[in-house]
Amino acid sequence: MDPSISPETQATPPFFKNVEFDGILSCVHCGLCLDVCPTYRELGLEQDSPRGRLYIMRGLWQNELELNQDAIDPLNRCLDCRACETACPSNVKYGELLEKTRGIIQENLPQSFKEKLLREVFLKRVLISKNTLQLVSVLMNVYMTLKIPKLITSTFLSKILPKNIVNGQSMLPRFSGSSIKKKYAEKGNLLPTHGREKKFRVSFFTGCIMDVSESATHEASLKLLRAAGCEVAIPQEQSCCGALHVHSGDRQTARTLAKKNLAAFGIDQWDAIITNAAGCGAQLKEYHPLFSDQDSDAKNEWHAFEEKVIDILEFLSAVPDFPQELPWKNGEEVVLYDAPCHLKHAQGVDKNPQKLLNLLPGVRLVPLTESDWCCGSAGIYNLIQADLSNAVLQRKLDSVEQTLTRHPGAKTIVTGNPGCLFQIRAGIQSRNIPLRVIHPVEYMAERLLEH
Amino acid sequence: MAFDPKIKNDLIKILDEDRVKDDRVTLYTYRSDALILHPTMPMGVVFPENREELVAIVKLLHANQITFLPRGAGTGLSGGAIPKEGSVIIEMFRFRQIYDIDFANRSITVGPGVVNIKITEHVKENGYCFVPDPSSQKACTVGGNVAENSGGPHTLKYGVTVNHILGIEVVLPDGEVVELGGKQWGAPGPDLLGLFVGSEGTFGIVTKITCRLTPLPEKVITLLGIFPSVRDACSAVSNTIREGIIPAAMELIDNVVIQAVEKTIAPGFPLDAEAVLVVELEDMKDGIEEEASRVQAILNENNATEVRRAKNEEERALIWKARKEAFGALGTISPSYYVQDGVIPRSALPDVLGQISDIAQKYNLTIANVFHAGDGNLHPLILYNSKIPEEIEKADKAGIEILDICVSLGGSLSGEHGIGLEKQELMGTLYSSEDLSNMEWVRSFFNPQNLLNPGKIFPTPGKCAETKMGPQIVQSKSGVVA
Repeated sequence: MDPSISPETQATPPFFKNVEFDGILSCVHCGLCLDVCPTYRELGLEQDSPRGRLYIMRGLWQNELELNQDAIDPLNRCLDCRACETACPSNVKYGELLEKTRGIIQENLPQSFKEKLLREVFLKRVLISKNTLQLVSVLMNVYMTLKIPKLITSTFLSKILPKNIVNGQSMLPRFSGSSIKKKYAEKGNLLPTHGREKKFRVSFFTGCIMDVSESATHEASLKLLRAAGCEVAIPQEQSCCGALHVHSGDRQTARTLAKKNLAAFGIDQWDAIITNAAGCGAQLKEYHPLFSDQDSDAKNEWHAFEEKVIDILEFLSAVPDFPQELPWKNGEEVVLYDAPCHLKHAQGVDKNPQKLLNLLPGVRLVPLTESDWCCGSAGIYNLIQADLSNAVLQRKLDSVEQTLTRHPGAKTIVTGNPGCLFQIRAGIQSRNIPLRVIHPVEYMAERLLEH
Repeated sequence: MAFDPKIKNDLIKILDEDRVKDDRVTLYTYRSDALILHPTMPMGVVFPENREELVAIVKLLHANQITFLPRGAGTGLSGGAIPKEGSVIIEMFRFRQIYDIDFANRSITVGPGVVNIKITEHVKENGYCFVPDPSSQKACTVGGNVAENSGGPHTLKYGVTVNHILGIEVVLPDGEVVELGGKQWGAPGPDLLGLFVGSEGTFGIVTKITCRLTPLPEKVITLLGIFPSVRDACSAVSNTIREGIIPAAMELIDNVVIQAVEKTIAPGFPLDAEAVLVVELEDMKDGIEEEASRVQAILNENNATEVRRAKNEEERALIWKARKEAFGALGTISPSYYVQDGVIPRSALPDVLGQISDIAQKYNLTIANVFHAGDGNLHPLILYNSKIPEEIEKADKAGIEILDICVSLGGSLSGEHGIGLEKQELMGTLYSSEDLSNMEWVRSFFNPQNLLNPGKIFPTPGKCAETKMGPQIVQSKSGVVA
């Protein structure tokens, strides 16, 4: 035995107090996660691989590494795409461990001005207030109608403004200027089924940004759910899911949001709580680690809530005779599919959405050659780690072009997560690739005939 | 530990600041490969991108008498990429080029940093594959395979890495570049390529590898035998081979491992089975069905309670996923494991498995078994908790006892993982001091000053009888022990 091995008995440092972290021990350092990690592929550094990051977290936990910039840089460079969890044979809960560590970092290390600004203004003010969100949406709607983003990206302004701001212009969502939640509140809040007898009673999660932008996605979701025999409620007191907060380490705000959503939705009155944003869905299904200090009754309540949450594609794929019983357009079309990381890797939902889309008459779904790789969006990662995010995006665009060469007739890419939509759309524009990027439900709704 | 400032400066001149690292976090994450029992910090890590940079680094380190070693994906299980003496690690990740695919000569030339499975992915559509398929093939690099002479389940029929490498380009420890082998058949004189493959990164650093491509089989049949005891499953293995049937793979998975993989991969193995045996047949369409019926009958004769057959590619892939990711799956039942790689004559399988279980009882440890039964290559996984120092020690002792049994039966210390720094002190149990000194003499031909990956394979001086040169013929480490 090598005498230099110190048995792992060092005291846990104080900032890990009350943090359940034993899950780190299930990493056996086998390395099977390395080659699926987007940042490892770009950087080729052990500390920027999932195994390396887990080893750093373990080093912090065992008091062998100091909590300093060198240690947290690789952790901050993680996209949290969780492809490593799909690859991991030991079921290491990488995302949970990383998010807990980011919580510790945020509470114990000073943040840069940019991070602070983003957190205080964007995460703590804008996302969680529906009035502010709506106001932002109206302003952004005007901003985009005036074609300011184009002015910034295509004139001398692109040379003098900071790179992040210029890049950000092409990633803006399509703001609608109004809130879907509010719109349906005025219509009585509970939407009846359409053309079919009632089979399910579901409630619908509208999200923060998505509530005031990309309204086509929500409208399409409601149309499909109602056509599938669902009575749909839109609880008015629901709020942002908190994913962006958890990813950036702000667990306190996330806890508040989780409680708010639990109260707004409740558990018993719904067959399902439907989301159409993979990132939100993943977060709604993972509230319990935020409350690891709670007693088992409270934990059971979180688990009961989490079990009700389901992605709309997964839900529709399980509705009997949907889509066979409904009238669809039947023109032949090849549609390209991109699997959002938080659908495939975080929620483990992959085959059923693809099966569902393939069931539509005339539709042939073709996954991108690197469908299950991250696009680099990762919440607000593309704003904070712009260069690395862009490198990851370029790989995705290569994969789009490669797939398009094999299937030149394709006109549409579908991907079921807002962040990915904005990111891939921006990339497609930058390379002038003749494709549109939309949410799968929007594509489905387009093909659904009046009935 | 860190670089001497002058050396660091010179390295930065060759690479640039970003690719010369000696901060604590880098050193910490590079202190271990997939063998986690013996972490040691390197002096620093460098990241060359091409042969010219590599040669310049090697010459600089050589001139300054600084020890160094290459590292691929760090999935090795014998500590081959651990910088035992605080050496400089040369990260080979950036050597990922695919240079040349040549179907007429059935070869592909790649950089050593290419991940094993990528080769087959590149040529599958054309009906070819690269045979060596270690369980880590989704992550491990071809350079690492060459260093360790890696095996995998399908080596039973097709041989190990050395049988699938046609040529290599190597940077020797003084910076000289040489080529060994090539696409052509036959090379007169001693087989230096064969000698190099499996030298565990102690002869030179590979910069280009020409691999043999093998046509994909016409048909594959995968059977799963379910057994009430490990002994019965082992007898089924010996009896199959005795009948003259050579399956592509025969893999045994015991109950402990079944419990673990059912928790993660859920291949549908019966939880109450004491062992399952995966038998894969690969052949031409004609005749393979008869072979499959014969194997099925042999499994039944050896008390299989059930023999299943994978109905489609999906079922087959799931069985193999369970087999290949079994080591990692043990993470769900134990915080740490120590895997052995001993080889025994196939006929001894049933008895040795019993002896391993006795050792487990003696030390009050759980030992799981998932291994290449067809070629007698054991992989006992000793489960322990690294938070309990006594358990680390017990795991180490149990491992040594298992290897002692392998050697006493005429077997060997390692089938495919290499000796590294894990089993070097046991080499004296397998080889005489003359054997060892002959081997060291061969190494010194390539690596005279022992600057490249020191402290591996051979016993630490003083811990073993003094070695001296002699004319004895050294038994080959590579190749399958039959």
